[in-house]
Amino acid sequence: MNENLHTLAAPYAVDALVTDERRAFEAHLDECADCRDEVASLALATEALADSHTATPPPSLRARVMDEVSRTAQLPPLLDEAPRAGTKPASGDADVLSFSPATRRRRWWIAAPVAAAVVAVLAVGGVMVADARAERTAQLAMEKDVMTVASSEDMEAISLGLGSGKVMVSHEMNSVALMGTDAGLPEDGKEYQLWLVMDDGTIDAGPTFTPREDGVYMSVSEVDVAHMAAVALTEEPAGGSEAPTMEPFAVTEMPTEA
Amino acid sequence: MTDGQEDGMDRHLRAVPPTLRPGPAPEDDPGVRMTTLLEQTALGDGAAYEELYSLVAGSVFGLALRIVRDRDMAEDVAQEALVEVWRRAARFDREAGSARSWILTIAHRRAVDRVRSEQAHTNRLHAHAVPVEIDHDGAEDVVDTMHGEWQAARVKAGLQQLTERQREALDLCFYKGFTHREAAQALDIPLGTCKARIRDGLIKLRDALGVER
Repeated sequence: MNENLHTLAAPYAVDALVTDERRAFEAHLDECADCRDEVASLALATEALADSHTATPPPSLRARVMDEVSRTAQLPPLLDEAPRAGTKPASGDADVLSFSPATRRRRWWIAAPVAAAVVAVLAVGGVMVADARAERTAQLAMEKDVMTVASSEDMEAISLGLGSGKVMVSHEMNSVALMGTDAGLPEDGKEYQLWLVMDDGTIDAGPTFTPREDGVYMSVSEVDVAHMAAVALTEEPAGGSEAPTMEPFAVTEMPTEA
Repeated sequence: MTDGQEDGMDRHLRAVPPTLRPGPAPEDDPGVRMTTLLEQTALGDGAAYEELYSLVAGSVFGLALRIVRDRDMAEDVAQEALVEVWRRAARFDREAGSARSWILTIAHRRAVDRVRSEQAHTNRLHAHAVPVEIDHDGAEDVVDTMHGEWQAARVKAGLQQLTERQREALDLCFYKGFTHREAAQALDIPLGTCKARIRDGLIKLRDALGVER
């Protein structure tokens, strides 16, 4: 409707609107599928921003919250309050993220049939999750190391030619970590292997890794960072090789000290 | 259906060791688990709420602390936000986004409201934009720490993809509670430019994080 309102999607996503503007925009959201999509899409970034500062709350907080909760009535579901999605068949519902309009806002709080529906959804999702679970357990320690490198004070990130990726170097940790997205998978039966090319020309074998299905990958290795000249990647038979069996497809040189 | 949990909406699933559960255990996926817990909370399930609390309190408190910068105030904000999660749980719509995102949105808004209502806000308008920092305030819960550090590392790497100007605009609005008008004024740029920087920054960050749903 209002041309101007569309441009408020991003400020809305970061809570940078004053109350009146926010209300106006929320009213607009009910009618504008484009803005709903935009807000939902930007929320993927704001969620990450919001969720990157974990801190342990004092134990007393739990008791206070539970106490207040025990004295706080819950709001009913949106059914009554929402002529929004329900009564605007023309523009309101059909375009909402392509979910079935009839079930969109009313489902799980109708207790009995709902429980079954929820479990059905979970079961479908479970196949993927189960695959990921074994991998996750195995990768947990490694991921933690990656995080430690990535969050170290002196971390320097340099781009890496595998998908959209970075080599993160930390002198403090004496380690390099790789982290990236959009990586293609290696050939069947092969893995990617990291190689650490040292100043004196020696090439040390690093760990192997395979990106997840969604192209996200990580790897980490300890290395004498001060004497490392470059990192390189090759495809190697599963389990990795002692020495590279092919020309590297990606090489990232370390910046020389100025 | 395979898990036979249709009769156990309010069962405290966490008590069941994952390895003893037959078949796939989708509730091990944190996102799925959290959605389930929030939906159970909406039905007045206190045990589900307590578990949900354990999963999000660190994120909620950390976010509040990042924004209000004062532990006491952050506790207040976190308490308000977490109670609001309980109160509004039935308004959560799983198709509009993840449970964690919904909860953090509540927390973020509370924190921003608090910052804006503080007298000190006027001063902040003239303060320089500070680069976005990642805080590690010594979280002790292992799962929470893992999750938190992982997120922090990913976001830190993601933010490096942004231009300094985009980071600056995002930092002012998201972490310092500026409205987009105030940010435009503080950065001495037209409002349209400011909105564009916020938007472009978010898009770049989202793409850098490789999140797709």
